[in-house]
Amino acid sequence: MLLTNRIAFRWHQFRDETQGLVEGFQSLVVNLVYLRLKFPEKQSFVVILDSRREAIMLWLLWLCNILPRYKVWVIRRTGDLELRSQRDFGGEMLLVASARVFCKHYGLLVELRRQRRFIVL
Amino acid sequence: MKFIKRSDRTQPKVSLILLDWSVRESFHLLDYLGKQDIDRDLFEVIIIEYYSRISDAIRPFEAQVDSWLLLEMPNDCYYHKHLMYNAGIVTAKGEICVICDSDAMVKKGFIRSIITEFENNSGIVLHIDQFRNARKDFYPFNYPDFAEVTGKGCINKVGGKTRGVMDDKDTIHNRNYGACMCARRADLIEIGGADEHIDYLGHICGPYDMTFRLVNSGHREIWHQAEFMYHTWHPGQAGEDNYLGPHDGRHVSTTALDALISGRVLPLLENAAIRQLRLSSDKSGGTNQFEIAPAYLDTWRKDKLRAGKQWIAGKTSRKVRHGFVVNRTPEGFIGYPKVLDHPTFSKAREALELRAATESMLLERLDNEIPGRLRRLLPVISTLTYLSRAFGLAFLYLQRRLLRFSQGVV
Repeated sequence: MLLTNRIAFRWHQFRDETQGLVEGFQSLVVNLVYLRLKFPEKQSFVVILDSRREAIMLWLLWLCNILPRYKVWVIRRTGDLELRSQRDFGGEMLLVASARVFCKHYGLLVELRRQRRFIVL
Repeated sequence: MKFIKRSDRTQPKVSLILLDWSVRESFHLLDYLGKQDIDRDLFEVIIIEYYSRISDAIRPFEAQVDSWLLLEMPNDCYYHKHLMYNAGIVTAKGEICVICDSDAMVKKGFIRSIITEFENNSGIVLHIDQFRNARKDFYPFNYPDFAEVTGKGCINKVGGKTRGVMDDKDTIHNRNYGACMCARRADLIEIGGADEHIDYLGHICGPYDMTFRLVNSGHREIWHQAEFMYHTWHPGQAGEDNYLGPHDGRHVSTTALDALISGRVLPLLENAAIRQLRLSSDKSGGTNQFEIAPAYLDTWRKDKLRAGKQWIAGKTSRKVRHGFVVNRTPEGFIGYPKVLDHPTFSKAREALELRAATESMLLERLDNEIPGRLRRLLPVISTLTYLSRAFGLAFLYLQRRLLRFSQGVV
């Protein structure tokens, strides 16, 4: 493959993937805001993310008073998720996972979805 | 459709489904299948060719081929692998269907491992990962040793296994779902077979569509920890210059991911022959039952997917923008927040969804649903994400270059 084609291919890959990340996080935030506005009775939940950057952004949005302060789990590896879900499993809180974290650890999260209140945004 | 050859094996346990769309230069898997350490009657090999080419690459190994089917799609139609999967599932006589790469190497216990795994576990979908070697001196394929493929130039070997099998951070991207997928034929029929939706046209597709829906229907996904496939470099393996349906930037179909997220089990577009098998009490099928919907000959035409020399990427009727689902319907466009897709909130959907005649009108109305302060912050979030990703990828690229340099691979 020509070098220019290769660079173009990689650039498209970077752009598409980053756009996917941006869309994914925006989707999470917008839907959290929507939940807060339209379903105030369902406020009590845990947000599961796979990125510290996104957790910091959620915290900043709380500082700006756009979102309430949620309990956030940042899960990098499947093992972390197993530990967290065992420790906090008794809670009746609604679990909200980002689509990205769900897809990364779906083996475990599909099971969790069958057992408790759980939504993916 | 035309059969070049039909299987006369009466009761195979495993049906291997190998695909071609007039592109494969080598079918060396067939050579390795001829050296398996089990009775040859326990498995059958089915070749599905999308167009009408009778491949010369198969001729040297023709004795290993049991069924050879040409779908005879017109040349102006773009390839759709899921249609070929369905043709294979309908044609298969075996209890277990195996969809795998036809240009990979396998060890002599490959088929035995698959059978054993299904005998020891019920309700599973089995995947086998692939060692990949980037050395160009194995092309054209020149039968290297297994040790050579896992040695110098191997890009995913970690502690004797593939990186994907060892990984617990991002399995969806680090494991090769298209290398080899095995499932019971009855289970595949039960979930409606492979999805023939236009989103899976071209390069963005794979048996993981069925894996995800099998997982949604309660099956366990298992990755073999000791058996692997071995793949050597060839040109065009990354799908360059192919038509791409909607994907996540790393060539995993977002439509398949949506199915996984939403818990959907049936395909968006089911093959008529598979549906007939699903609804009938006799699942044995048969080679004469397979059907190709006549509408595909028009909707999959290459000239409909192009604007000039460029492919028009990801023609789909459902989009997600800023967290809102935008659906195109015959009456216009409907938008609603993604959370309303969930059963807990779906009762409120009808009251909260927005409708508009055109997409731009709907997008404007949806944007107005977002509080002003958040709307102003969205571009900031976007810029921060781009910048941090650029730094992260530059670091990763340098790390990989150094690793390859230290292995002596340019």
